[in-house]
Amino acid sequence: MSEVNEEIVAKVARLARIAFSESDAEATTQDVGRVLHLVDALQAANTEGVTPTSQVTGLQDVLREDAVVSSAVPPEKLLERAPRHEGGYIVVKRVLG
Amino acid sequence: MTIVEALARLERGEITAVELTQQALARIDEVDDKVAAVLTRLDDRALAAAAASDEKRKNGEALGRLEGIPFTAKDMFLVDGVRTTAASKMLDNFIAPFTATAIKKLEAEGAILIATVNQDEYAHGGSTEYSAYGPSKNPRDIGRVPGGSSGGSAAALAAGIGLFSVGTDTGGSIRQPAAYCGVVGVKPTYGLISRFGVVAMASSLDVIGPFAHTAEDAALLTDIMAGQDEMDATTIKSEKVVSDVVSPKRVGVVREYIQTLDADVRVRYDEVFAQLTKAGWELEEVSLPNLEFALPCYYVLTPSEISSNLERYDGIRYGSSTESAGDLEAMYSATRGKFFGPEVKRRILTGTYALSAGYYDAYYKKAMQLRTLVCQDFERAFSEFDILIGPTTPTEAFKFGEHSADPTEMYLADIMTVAANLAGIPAISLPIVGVSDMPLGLQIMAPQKGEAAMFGAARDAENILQVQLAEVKL
Repeated sequence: MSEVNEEIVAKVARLARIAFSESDAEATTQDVGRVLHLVDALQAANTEGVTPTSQVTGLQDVLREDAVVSSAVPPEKLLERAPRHEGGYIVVKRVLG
Repeated sequence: MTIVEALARLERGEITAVELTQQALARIDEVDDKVAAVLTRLDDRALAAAAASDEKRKNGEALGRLEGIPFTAKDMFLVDGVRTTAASKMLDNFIAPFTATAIKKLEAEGAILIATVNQDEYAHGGSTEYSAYGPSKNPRDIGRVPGGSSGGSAAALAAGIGLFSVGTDTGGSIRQPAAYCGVVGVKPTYGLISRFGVVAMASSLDVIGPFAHTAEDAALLTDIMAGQDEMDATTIKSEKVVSDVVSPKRVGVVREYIQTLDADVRVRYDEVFAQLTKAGWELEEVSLPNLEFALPCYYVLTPSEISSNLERYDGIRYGSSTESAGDLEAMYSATRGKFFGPEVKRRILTGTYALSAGYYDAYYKKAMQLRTLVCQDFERAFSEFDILIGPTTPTEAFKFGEHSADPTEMYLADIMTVAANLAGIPAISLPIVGVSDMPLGLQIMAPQKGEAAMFGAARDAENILQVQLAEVKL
């Protein structure tokens, strides 16, 4: 289960949008392999027919009234946290070619 | 000094909020070059709040339940206008645009925030060695870690910086450092305290909780922070939190935790169990067989949720960003590659792997099924026992670098704390005397929403044990 190699880790890193250098590849692969080795102990457990638990509050469909509530935080205050912004907009690189 | 004692002194006019705050700030000057608990000092903000508090008291206005009490907060809590880094270079220059609900509630009761404190980056770790701003030291032995991830909170409190602290606990990040530093740490029921305005780690497990010197103080703080918040849809209706001293009737000792202890550590717990028994607690060993799988279960679920939660750090909307050649995707990857630390990257990569096509059933689904079995173990145990007790950690605080070679060695420090997060139940760590001059922790767990039973028993245990830890010398 826990057989990872540099190729798999490089693919996962691309999916996770994390650039890392070739020189880190070996150590990173080894570390991820260690974590997977630790969690492989799970495979010994018998979970046949067990319902998965994704949350433990028992809460369901927490709803509020469908009313417009203005944010307590003014948009300018959020905008000025963007690394690049101009004229009330966040600036990003070109998305379409 | 406890909160209760400080409130009494303020009430009697023996000390003012300004004086208490000045003392806490002076303590930072005095010891923080050794302890390195503090990330951002808030002297002006704190002294202004303290002066206003004294004015309120002088004028006979209504006072809060924490009126004039100085505290610190883990750097995961947003405070309007204050730098909040989560100890990551990704948020190196981030100034929070609003305040977390938990902090608002504490401040509304008159508490005074004096500083933000250190932690492992994004709360990923158990020693503060993964902080991008360097590790904090254990005030009881600066050659040892304070624990983590909320290590700065525990270290600050143990060092006398502030009268309480607030942290976050995803798998033990409050209880483990509390045990290592010799203070009380509480992980409340999942959903009891709003997480609005707190940096997310693993959302199905994260809770907020207090560090204090006594269970009574911790109960007061938990009670103040508890309650539903429309800004956090996972919050639950709170029930009675505070409690008088209550001697628990049926007490289960978790076999899976005590049977793995080293002999010298085991002796300490056997002594504690004997004292409690002598005082009338009826202790009986109980087995929760699926606890064996709690740690691997946790280390699948947590990285998976982290990989999803930390997608938001993209260098576009806030936080650090790097100019790079190439397209938008290249900019994302360059930003995340540059500003995330090694443990954060490991967790994101592991989580992305566990959630990716072909592995989902073997890892994530399997872990969610194990979580069910762990919850069922606790339900069975709590049908027989009012509370469960055991150690908080397998060992005392470890030395710097001891677990650096293999990152998964550090994960084992969480082995006795993760299960409470998986089951969403409350747990408290109380200091006890360790093998050396370092403390250990006695963990008390209760069923969901069982805070009153937990605090009642904890206060009783404190009275029975009368723990005297070695004095902190810095």
